[in-house]
Amino acid sequence: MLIRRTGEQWQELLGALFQASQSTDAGQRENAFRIFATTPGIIEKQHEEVVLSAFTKGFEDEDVSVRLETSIASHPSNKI
Amino acid sequence: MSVLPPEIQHALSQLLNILQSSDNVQRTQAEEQLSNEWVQPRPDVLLMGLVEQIQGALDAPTRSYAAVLFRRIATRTRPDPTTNVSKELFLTLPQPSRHAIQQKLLLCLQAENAANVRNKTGDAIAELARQYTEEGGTNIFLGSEQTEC
Repeated sequence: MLIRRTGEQWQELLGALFQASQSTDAGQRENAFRIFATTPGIIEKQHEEVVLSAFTKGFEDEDVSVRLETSIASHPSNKI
Repeated sequence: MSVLPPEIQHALSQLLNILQSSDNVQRTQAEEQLSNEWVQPRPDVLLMGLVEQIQGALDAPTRSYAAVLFRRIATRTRPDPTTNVSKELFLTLPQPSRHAIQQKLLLCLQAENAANVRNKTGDAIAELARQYTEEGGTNIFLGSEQTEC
């Protein structure tokens, strides 16, 4: 269960991160997954499909840093 | 693009320079000024000002410093002016201010080219997101049991 502290949401955040995860700039893609890794609570059940598609692409990214951050974000205990 | 008047941005920009100074005496004075003239009386102006520094400062170290300071200030606790319950500072700001600040921060992330500044901006965004969602919310890859470990 995701417990909300304020009952409010940051509606635009997930969309912005999803967009960044699809950027042509590897740094943008990497940073999107860094943010997911830092705050996994952003990922909500109702957005599962969108997030899964972003992660699926991230795991197959041509840039190794993006693949690494995707791995960390998918399982925070992978953090070195 | 700037929401704040130029004189406020100018004052903040000068303060940021002194806060990064190696002179201990100057820096201590600047820290007091930051607390007394910005954090306490007008935290919303300060956070918006810092975001505009991340967006507009010409040198990367200042943009990076502004992002770090933003995160540090946003996580301080203070009593909510309406309920008097202690909360993290960002959440005590009025909703329209919070919205303007967080939207501009997302724009900074999109526009930033320096990796270091982008990472610091990302950290600030992740911090605000954490304040909105309880830390360690369900990670769909792990489920709630494992996140508690």
